[in-house]
Amino acid sequence: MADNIIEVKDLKTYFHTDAGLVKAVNGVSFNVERGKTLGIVGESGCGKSITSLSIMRLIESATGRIEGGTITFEGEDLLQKSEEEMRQIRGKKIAMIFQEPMTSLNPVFTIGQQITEALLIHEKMTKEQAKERAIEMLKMVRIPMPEKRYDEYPHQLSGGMRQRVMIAMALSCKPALLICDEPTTALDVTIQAQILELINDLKEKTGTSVMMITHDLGVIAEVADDVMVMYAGKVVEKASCDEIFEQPLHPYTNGLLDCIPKLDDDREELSTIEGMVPSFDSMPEGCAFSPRCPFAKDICRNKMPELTQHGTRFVRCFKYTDEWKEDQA
Amino acid sequence: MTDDSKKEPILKVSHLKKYFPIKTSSLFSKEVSYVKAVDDVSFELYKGETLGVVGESGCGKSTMGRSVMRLIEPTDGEVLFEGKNFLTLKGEELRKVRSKMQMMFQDPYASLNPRMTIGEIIAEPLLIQKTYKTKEEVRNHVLKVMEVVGLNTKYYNRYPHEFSGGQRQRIGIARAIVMSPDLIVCDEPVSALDVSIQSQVINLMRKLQKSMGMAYIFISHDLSVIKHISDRVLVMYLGQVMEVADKNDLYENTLHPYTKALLSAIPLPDRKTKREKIILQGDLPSPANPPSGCVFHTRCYMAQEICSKEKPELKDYGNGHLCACHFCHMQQE
Repeated sequence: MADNIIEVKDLKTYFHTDAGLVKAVNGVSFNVERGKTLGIVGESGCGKSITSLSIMRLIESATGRIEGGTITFEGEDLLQKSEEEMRQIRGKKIAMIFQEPMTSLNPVFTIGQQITEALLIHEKMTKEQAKERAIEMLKMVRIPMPEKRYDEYPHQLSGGMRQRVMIAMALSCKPALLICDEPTTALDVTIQAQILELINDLKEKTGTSVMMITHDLGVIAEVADDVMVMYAGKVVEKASCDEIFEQPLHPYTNGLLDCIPKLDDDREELSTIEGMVPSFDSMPEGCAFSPRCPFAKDICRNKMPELTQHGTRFVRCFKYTDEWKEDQA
Repeated sequence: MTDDSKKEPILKVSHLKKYFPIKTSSLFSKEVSYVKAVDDVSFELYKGETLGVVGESGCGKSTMGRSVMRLIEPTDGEVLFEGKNFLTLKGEELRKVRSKMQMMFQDPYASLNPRMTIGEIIAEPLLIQKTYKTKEEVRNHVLKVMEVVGLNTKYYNRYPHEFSGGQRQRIGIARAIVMSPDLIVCDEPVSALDVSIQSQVINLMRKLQKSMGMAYIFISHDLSVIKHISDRVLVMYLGQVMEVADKNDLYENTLHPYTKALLSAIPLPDRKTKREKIILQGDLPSPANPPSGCVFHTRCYMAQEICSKEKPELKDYGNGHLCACHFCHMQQE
């Protein structure tokens, strides 16, 4: 049995909107192995960010609710925790890095104040200890002149530096799980390369497990050990990173990989996935991907396939079931 | 491309400069300083060709694109469009030439007027240029263009908010091609789109280029997209041209250390090929206070003493492969 830091089972997060019920995350299950990186990939609106916010229990609002499932973190179900208990976990045991370093730092507090906040609350440090630790963290994420930066405000830093500060903040309490939600999407490629290298380095050093959420399969290939592909609120494929890139099983994964322009190919025309991601108020019958799938048959349009195991991997597609052959006959 | 078309560039940009003043002289101080967003950029663009312009944010690629279009008045330089000096044109003459050059923007949400219907948005250039006499003719033309870009003609009376990002970008394309221009400046047209939609839009743009024969200046920070769509590529850093070359030449025989670093920084969706990574240290310097000598020397892994003192010239290393680096000749061997 693998040593899992977190086990998510049949997670359902729904939003009750004026336009109707939106099943943003609809029965998602996955595990993150201790010390490993799980990549979650999908296009906008597939539910990948909502999955991570559900783990942090940051969903509860007037419309949003976690309707079912379990999230077992270090043997305990996070969904049973009180808000007070959750506060002990957020930032300490599970930390999160968001996409936009601009908006996720508070503009009226200094970098130092923001990093030490978590240390003062969770680690019960004195101010001096917290400052020392904060500067140490800034050094670790390779911010030049950390002593000077400590007293600066977010607007005085560049985008890449702000993301480093976010990482420093997230790692300051030595969390067991780090959730990165599109951490490099807003950054330039040269800065993205720096940040990815940094995340990989820190993972090795601190043994933190990572959940990397991104739409960029290139980023996944760089950092992930395992990959989960999501489409319209459901997991469509789960496998090790090498397997996914070697031989994607699901037509959607295959399509995603095919439509990226690559440096080493000279195709005149890019492959495309026709159509677009269905909106939640007009979900197709059967498999959500069937209207865009080049292989779709009647069975796909009528019934939602289950996530089934094939060797070491999982895929949600009739192509790999007996029913597919029957349909052919 | 045939040799004949090579001879006649439709666009010739020489020594284009755009300086934004950040401190002007006042009663108390005579000190004047500028952000040199575009600093002495020259290039040629041939008929039906795509020139990719690539660089990190703040390198001046968008300002360059807009200066060429005179959406921002350039500080200095010359832009010859189909033989005429575009920068000195005025009034009616300018408007006529402008119909031959169009622009596509990055943000499909902000670049369409929310109060106009799709039909009105696409028809606007036709009305401004007074191409047709009757409304009926305009409408027919717009419907034809909508079909060409793959928009359902039923949507003629709908508003932008009813469309997804990919469809909005198709509307942007329709607006750009409605005058059958010779040149379209595309400023990050696919950056805001999901990959599956991005490939649809790129394919459409290439298809239109083949059938209509216009030239693109394609501005992007994504080197994989640039490689796919361009014939030639221009690499910018801090407002200056670092390297210009034919696509294959640039990607296979990279001369400039900055281009090399950019290329190695792209995360590839491929687990097998292990590349040597060049990870640049530090951030882009502020363009208000650019480094002396070669602007790239502060982050360059090859920098020597000369780099901080002397600015390298953009020199031709064969086949129109231009590069601005003191050590290009060493890279070539």
